[in-house]
Amino acid sequence: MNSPGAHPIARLIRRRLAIGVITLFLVSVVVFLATEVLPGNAAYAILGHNATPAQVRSLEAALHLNRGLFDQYWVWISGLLAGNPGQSLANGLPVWGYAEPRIINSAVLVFVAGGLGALIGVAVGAVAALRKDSWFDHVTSVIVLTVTSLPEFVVAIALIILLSTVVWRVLPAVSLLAPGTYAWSQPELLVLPVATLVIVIVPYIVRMMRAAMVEALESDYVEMARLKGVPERRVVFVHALPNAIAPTIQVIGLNFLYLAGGIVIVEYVFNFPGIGQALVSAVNGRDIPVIQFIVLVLAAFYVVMNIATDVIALLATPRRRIAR
Amino acid sequence: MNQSDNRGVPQPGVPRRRVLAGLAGVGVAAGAGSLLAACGSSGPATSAAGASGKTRSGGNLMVGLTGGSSSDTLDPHKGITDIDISRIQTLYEPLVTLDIQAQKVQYMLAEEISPQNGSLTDWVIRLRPGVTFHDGKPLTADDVLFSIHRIISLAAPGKIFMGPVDVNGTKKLDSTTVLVKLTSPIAAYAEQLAAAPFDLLIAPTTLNPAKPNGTGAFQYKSFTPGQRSVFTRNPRYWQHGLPYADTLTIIDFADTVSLADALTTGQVHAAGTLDPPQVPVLDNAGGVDVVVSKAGSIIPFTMRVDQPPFNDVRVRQAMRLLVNRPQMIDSALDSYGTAASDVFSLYDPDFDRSLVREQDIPQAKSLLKQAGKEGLKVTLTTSAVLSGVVAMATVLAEQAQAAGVTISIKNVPPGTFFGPNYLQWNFSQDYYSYFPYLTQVAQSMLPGSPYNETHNNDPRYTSLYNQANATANDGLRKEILSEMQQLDFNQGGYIIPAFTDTLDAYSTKITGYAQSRLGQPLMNYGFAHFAFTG
Repeated sequence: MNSPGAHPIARLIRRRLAIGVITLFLVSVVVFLATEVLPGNAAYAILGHNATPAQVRSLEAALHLNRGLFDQYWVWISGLLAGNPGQSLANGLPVWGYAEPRIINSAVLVFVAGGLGALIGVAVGAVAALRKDSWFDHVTSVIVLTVTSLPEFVVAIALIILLSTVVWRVLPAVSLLAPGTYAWSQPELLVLPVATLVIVIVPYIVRMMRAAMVEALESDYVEMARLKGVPERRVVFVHALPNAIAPTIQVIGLNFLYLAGGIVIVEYVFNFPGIGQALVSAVNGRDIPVIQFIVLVLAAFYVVMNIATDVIALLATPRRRIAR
Repeated sequence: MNQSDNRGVPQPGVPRRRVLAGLAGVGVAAGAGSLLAACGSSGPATSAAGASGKTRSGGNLMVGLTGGSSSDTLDPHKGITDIDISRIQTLYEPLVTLDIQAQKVQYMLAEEISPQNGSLTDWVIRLRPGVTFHDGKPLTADDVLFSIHRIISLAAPGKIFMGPVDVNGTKKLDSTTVLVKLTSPIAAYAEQLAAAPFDLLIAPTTLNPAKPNGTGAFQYKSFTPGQRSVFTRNPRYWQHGLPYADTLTIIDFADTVSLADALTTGQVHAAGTLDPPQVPVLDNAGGVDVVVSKAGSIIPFTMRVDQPPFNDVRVRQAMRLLVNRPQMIDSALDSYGTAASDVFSLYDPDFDRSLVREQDIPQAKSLLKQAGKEGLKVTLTTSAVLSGVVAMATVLAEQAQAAGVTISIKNVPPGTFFGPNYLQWNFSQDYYSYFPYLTQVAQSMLPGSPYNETHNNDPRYTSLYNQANATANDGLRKEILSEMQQLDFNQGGYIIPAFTDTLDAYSTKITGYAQSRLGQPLMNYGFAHFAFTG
């Protein structure tokens, strides 16, 4: 791209990335302190009801939990910067080996659900706007409103009952991926979790798209295009849609961010081996290296997704690209 | 088919902790032909429950359990959760175990355990011949000694069950015989060892936790903590004809709802650690058989007898008298339980059935008044460590109002419950699977007990315990136990409203399972006995 707008965008990205790195650092400190404040520690969590004082002390020493806070944090962060996220306190396995397949699995969920949700949301929203006040529009509005009010796990359980255990038994109820296999190797295990997430995010995208599209369709330039005799198809796709998409991109971006956190519930209900489950388990186990690593991955995702959303929205809004 | 339909007696709970207790009733030849007793060795008694329909060898058995996490382990002496035990008790085996009727000792790796020259402090353990580990190494006395030393040096839970071992005097007599020397007598030593097989597993001297190597029916293939373990059939297994399945996969589930769903859709063939709400759902699903076992498990309320207000025995008795036990079972345990009267070890042959307690509010109030504690206010610390625990606490608080007692519930997360204050709470709860009487006492009723929640320290009681252990005569011992149970009944710090049920469910595609009184899931993890039908 060699328009005058390239430089401001590149500058924007650089600046945001720099802020992002500082954000990640602050997040790691805050999460570390928050985990330390929680009662108990990994030694107690591992020993469970076998946690006699002697056992606890011995395990704490083995896990280096008896060092000072600053020491523990420093050991962790210096290891991380050297490329080694450390080992799980729960089982001694390397954090990277434990987290990597789960990160990939969750990423599959997030991007497939986010992508599908975006496509469906945009399509439905656009059609609803084009057929404003028709039965399609009204029915869509009602469905969207109803679904928005449903919590995620209700949607998940309803889908399980409908398609898996009671009404029809066509899909597996649980996503039992064998360790070491990736999510795409058994696509039937992805259907219900992805469907749940899509159902949860589509309403927001539909509403935003519809509103933005309606506004675009009622704008002066569209009216002008119609008066000029431009074919309706071109009016919609070349004039209205690109203008409606910019605010919708922000909503889509927000939904991706929501998905990063929202998959925790879906992973729990479907026993899906992703980072949501891993994070819950790590917090319960006060497994600091795992907690830190997963939180950082999520925070990095947030930072990058925020930047990407803003940049794409910017690119989709030509008048903002020009340096002022 | 062997599965018994126990649906008539609702019992709740799946006491997990100490769960390991219980012995693997692996000895029961659940249905599936009579191959079990066939091959020569005098293996565990096969209480084959009748002919089971067609069964076949082979298949991949998938089992689901909850309670796991990334701290799951395959170390034979570090198992903590049910799912840990399900794995280590499959890879490794104990010397002896209790049968699933909780009555008899079953000999596994040991062939005989007898006192040397009648001395109750010197026990000779003779090993079963012809047993090998998965790598082909034969089982010898050295492996037993290694395991004993390891359990002691790790201060593992098995230590209490081994009794007061004199390490220097414990030695091997020959390659298949071990002499265990105790510093004080234990008359029913085989029974005591049999009470906790999951904590007394025999590991080889070459033990490498990264490459599990045991004598069990299945051998290690792969393991991912918090997710699943895969084991394959042990072709050298000493119980000929077992196991039936080719592979065994044990899968961690985050909660019982998704576990029940997985069973319904056939993704697993057996589901343990279930909660009462799943039972009606599974009953209605086709292809699933729910098995309710009347286990001797307990979820006691624990009162510190060394702290106010419970240091006054009248207050303790008042608390016990205000409990409406049938109502507690119906409300908190969904009827999955049998009323208990504050005395444990239901299936112990010496269990005193004459000790019965029912709700008596006027007496409770009178006792509180005598103690000057009318309008008593206490805090009960509870936690969702097991299904039914918090519900029982809530129901108790309700019931206590009738006697003018105000119980405020402090519900803490399990991590906090088992944290630094565990075993120190003034008024709290705990849970145990079934243990014979003396073993339960050793765990929780003596000053040196590892789980003495009530801080019980009664010289007479401790003296009786030592006497019972020193008494070879069954009749005399019964009398001593009777006196001890009177003390439990009259002044103990436990409130035991119920013996809780174990809830398991199986796909109708498999057979070989039965009820178990021991409190462990899935017929005491009797996976070797489960076979696919047809």
